[in-house]
Amino acid sequence: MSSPQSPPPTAPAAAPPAPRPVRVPVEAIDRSCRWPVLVLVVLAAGWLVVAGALAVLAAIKLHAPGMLAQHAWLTYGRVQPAAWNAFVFGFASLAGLAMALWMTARLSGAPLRGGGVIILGALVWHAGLKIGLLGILAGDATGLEGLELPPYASPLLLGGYLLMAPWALLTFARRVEAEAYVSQWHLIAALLVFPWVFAAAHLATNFLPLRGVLQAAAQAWYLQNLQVLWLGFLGLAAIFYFAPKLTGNPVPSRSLALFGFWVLTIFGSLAGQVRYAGGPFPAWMSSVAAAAGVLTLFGVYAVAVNGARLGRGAAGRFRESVVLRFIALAWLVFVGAGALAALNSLLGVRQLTQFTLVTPGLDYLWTQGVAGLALLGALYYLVPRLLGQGWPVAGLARAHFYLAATGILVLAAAFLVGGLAHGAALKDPQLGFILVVKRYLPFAATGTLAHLLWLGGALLFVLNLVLALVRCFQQAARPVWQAWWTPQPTGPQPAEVKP
Amino acid sequence: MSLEPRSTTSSHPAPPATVPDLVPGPEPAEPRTGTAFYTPIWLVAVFGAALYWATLYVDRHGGGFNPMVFTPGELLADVEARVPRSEADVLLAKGRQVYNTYCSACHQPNGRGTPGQFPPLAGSDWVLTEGPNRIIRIVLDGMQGPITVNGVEFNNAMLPWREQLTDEDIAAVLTFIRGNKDWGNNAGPVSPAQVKVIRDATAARGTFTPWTAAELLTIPVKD
Repeated sequence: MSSPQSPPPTAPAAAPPAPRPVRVPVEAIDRSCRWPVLVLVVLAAGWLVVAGALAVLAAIKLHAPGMLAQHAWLTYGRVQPAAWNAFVFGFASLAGLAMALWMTARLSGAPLRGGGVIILGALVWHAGLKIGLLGILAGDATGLEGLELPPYASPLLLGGYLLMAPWALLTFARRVEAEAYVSQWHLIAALLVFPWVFAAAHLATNFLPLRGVLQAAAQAWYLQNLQVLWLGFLGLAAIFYFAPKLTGNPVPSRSLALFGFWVLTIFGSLAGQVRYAGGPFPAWMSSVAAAAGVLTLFGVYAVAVNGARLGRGAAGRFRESVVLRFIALAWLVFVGAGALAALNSLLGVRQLTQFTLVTPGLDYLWTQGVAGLALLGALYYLVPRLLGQGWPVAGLARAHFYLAATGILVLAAAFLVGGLAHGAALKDPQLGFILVVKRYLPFAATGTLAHLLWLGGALLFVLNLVLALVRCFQQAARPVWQAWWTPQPTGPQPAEVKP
Repeated sequence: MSLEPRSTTSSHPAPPATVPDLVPGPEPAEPRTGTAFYTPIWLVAVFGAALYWATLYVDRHGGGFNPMVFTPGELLADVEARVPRSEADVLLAKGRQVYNTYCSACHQPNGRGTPGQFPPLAGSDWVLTEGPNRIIRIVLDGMQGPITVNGVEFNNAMLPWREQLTDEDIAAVLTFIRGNKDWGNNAGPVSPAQVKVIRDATAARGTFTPWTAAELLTIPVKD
């Protein structure tokens, strides 16, 4: 506090006002995104099919364990984690990064920075995941669910990530409007959370392993954060971007969205230990997780209310927009899975559902239901903008939606209902273990159907993408091609000499 | 290869725009947030109540955030009471169990006995001797006839436990009785080996021959 008598502090000469950034036209933004985002999309599409095929194989082995059992690298214990890793790190993470980079540039009104480095990062990540997946199939998996990537592969993924993700933040730093939009909160939270969670969990289990059961505690924390703060927030970013854009309605309440964002960030992150409720962990871990799990219900409620009001009066849009259907279903799955997860963290419910199909069922809802559907919707929207032309066969996209939606709903129904039957059977002292297994087998077999539907949809997506790229290539190559084949008008052709 | 947007007049006709989101067209405006609908106050109130419930829940089930407490609903003190920390604690915990089963009916849970009928163990001059030689014999083969405890005379019979209790049981219950701080006792522990020596030495007395006070007083309290 300076007294009035003291000379005023010598203020530096006012800097000339920085030129107000101007929103770059969307065509220019899309052009800046084209190559890096397309590379990510193509890699993600490939992984989507690989993950789908592996998931079908794993699902079949649940009810036909003898199939291909003579090949060690195709046994359930290797195929199942390979499928999960291919989906989460291959499809969801790469598609999520593609969407994050494009959406950040769009919402910031600034062209995407870092083109070539992003492509390099994508290739490093891709190579790391390939090595990791081959390692898993070769039997090098670490044995902790979700952290199976062998120690020689996970640093590559992190390195690739650090080449890609910072460009979203650097582009965000050049945004036109100071106030960030709802999707940007979720994107930036997700982009900041992922490297921390991934690195910390791999350090705690593979590189500097914690002692005993604490590894499992770190793993539960990692899976929860990966599902809610990485995959879930990528899904929410897509939902909050495309739903208002395609319905034409604004997000009803910014403050409610903010409330939901912070509730999910804080309490969603803490609820991981629910996975091992009743296990040999200090009591505070389980009770904090249970309380936090129930509190996430408020975040889910905020998303539910904002989303429901967004869809008002937009029924016609749902009929004509495939992207909006993907997004709306992802929202529905988020609300449903979030409510079920909150319910599942209550100890009484957990006593029935622990060690049953309910746990993988909820995991599938988060990974494929929320992140998978929302990101597919996002890719269906952004690829035509990057290529400058529409999807070659729009019908394939519509068919993909129905296949994916049926797959997810069948899977959720089979695993949740089957899980309850499974839990009730486990509690029955009259039933031997093999009888319990027989009781839930029909539900597990239904999972095969669901994964087949999902894989069929994925193939349609890739087919559509390949057709689009081929058409683009043809158009780009045609002038060159024609110039090469057209005989030069100047000069006579040399006469052929016949022997 | 160039991926520039092509014009729609090129040789490949664009697909029919039946799905407006699957073809690039006039770009809809970027999304925005409305301001009409705020966070409802009842939600804040319910959230506050839920936070309060959560703190109560963690307080009740979290074991005070102590890493040693694994069972929801317990505190560190409960764990320490249940889980003995040393060998003497193992005997003490077992002795409490044996005492409650076999001894407390007559000598009472508080160890004060019943005036005129059963002598006290709390502060008893027979219990708090330097060594446990006499009371081991009492527990093994019982007792009959007059006995003076802390200057008060009792005349009753005590059952023998030679067949029912193992060496370890007897050592445990005597450790519990002699070292029971709640009763004001502070004598040293009794080991199963000590009990075994006396059990073998007195086996020749024949089953069910109770001791008398006079007989016991001839035996040194300590080896």
